[in-house]
Amino acid sequence: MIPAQSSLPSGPAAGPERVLGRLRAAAAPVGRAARLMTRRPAGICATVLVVLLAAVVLVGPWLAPDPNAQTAAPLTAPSGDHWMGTDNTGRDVLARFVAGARISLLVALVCTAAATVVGTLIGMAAALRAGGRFDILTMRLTDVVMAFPLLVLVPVLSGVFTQKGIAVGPVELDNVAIMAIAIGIALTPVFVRLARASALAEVRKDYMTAARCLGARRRDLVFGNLLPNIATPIVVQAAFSVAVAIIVEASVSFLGLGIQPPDASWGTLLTDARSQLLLGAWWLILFPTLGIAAAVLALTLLGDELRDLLDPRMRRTFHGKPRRRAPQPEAATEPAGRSADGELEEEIR
Amino acid sequence: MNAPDAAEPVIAADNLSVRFPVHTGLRERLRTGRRQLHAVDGVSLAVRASETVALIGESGSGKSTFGKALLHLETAHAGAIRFHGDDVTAATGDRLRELRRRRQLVFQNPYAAINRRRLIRDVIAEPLRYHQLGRADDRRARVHDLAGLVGLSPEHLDRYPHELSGGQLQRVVIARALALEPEFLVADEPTASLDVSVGAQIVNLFADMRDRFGLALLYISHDLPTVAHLADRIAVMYLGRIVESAPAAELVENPRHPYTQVLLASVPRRDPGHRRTAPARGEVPDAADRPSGCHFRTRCPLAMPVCAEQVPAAQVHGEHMVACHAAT
Repeated sequence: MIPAQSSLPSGPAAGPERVLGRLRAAAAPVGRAARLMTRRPAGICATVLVVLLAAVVLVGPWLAPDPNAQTAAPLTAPSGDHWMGTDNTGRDVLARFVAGARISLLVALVCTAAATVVGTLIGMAAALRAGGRFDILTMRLTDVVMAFPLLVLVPVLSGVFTQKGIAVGPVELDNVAIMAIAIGIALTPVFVRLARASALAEVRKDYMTAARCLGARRRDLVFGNLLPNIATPIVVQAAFSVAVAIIVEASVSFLGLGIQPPDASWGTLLTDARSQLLLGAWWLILFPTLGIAAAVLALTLLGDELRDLLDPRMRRTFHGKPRRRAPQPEAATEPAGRSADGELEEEIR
Repeated sequence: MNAPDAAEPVIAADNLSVRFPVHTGLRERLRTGRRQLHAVDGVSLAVRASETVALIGESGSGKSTFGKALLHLETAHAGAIRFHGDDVTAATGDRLRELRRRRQLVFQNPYAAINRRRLIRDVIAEPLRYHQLGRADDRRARVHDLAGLVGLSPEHLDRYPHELSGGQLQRVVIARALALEPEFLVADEPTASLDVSVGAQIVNLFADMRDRFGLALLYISHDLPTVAHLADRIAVMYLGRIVESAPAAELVENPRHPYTQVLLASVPRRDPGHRRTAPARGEVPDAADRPSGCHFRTRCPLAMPVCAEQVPAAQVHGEHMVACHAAT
């Protein structure tokens, strides 16, 4: 009989080293995807647009003037002084565009991030208790939430919260935060559904049984095996959801039910533009619309690219350590999907 | 751990049963009540150290389910599992994790059994991580040793699963199972998804590992010739029950159960003049709706009226067990 584990001293690996290693392991696929991304036309488009938007949000406010300063003549067309013209009260549209981008994108990002995390956790929990009370309850709840059109649900939710005037501890939530919460709630069911469906397919697979057999604890099973294998569709959906969130926020704000003036968002800019359109002030409506279109296009392209690039079979096709020996010693039963790699390879070149 | 004792089985199943609920329509449920599929029905089997017991039978006979139930991967509905004589049927929590460390499984399809997002190196180190065995550099050395042991070269370790062939992946799965130095290993049709030549190498690897580590091996298969070559004892399973079990040579030369005879007759011979016994008639019945009495009677050439009424009792002659009314 075998002496029990004589060859291995027991005990966890060193702390900081382990944390660093895990972080590096988690970041590796993202880095690889980013490198591959910049090799395809659609990927380049997405990257450029995302970088531009990020620049507007991060650096813009320091370069553009105060969005609410009424310093210029009203309703002037774009010029050297005011690149995007001025509105009917003499505010600089570029400044308002930049401030609006900040709020629109911030709301979209924050609410999608929250919806992704919360939705994925709930979805996985439901899948692990498939058929149980928790599962049935959450599924019916998502049915209820998904039954309402987003354009109805979001104003109703934000209206409810605004009426109650919610405060989290000492922090009084402003209009923008309420908007983010409302959109976040509206977007969550998609992630619950997606995570549950993907997880249901994965938990039956042999590698999950293998992990259990090898002694994985529940958290190893869920976060070490299940989550990485359902992450791809969720990350892709998250990119699309940011685009949806931008449109919903703009639409609801345009209707006057979301972000309230004088706060600028791309939606409220459009509201301001509406009344001036007949006077020929085209610049008021053009630039916010372009902003929305660019952001949605960027995120949709990004989602499409991520779908391809997060596939592990894409790894190592172009980058990574070179293979030391081309022919494999044992019979070459190629796993399915290799041919798909070849196709993608062609497509990229 | 108990003192090494050749006679004492490492693991033993005692009348083990596994049932699954069958999902039927509402109308049928109202008429006949909830039905259950008896995947494993009162199976007793023991495996000793350094011994290979083969479990053979057609697909759907419950052999894989039995193997998984022995490892607590399926819930036993009735009966007991004994590990070194201790009843571990109801083990949970830390006790179960400790038991898992000492009993491992090699899967039928290595592609499905490996998390495709990990490097081979990390796949083999997985169990060490779960059980927090060793520091990072110990583990790295251990992974190298294990890879060498199963015939993988170090360069395979830095690849992803999709970059390896089926045979290589099965070696990875075996290395991963051996990482915990188990005492009992279930091999669930480990060659079923491999080419014949590669499969033969894997079978030899199992024999090698069993001899080197004194493994108790339960080898599940439907391939009689391979099993006759590898196993010490063979148990034949049909629709959830063991119908015959005997030392390998004895079973092959002197099969007593008509089902075993049919299985043996279906093996191609090299002798062209050899007349084959009539093959079993018909298909395997639905496991959720098994024939009464002896489950094999609907296909048995020797079926008698008594076969429909009574479940045949196990008759034991020395090491040869057979459950058949016609066998004497």
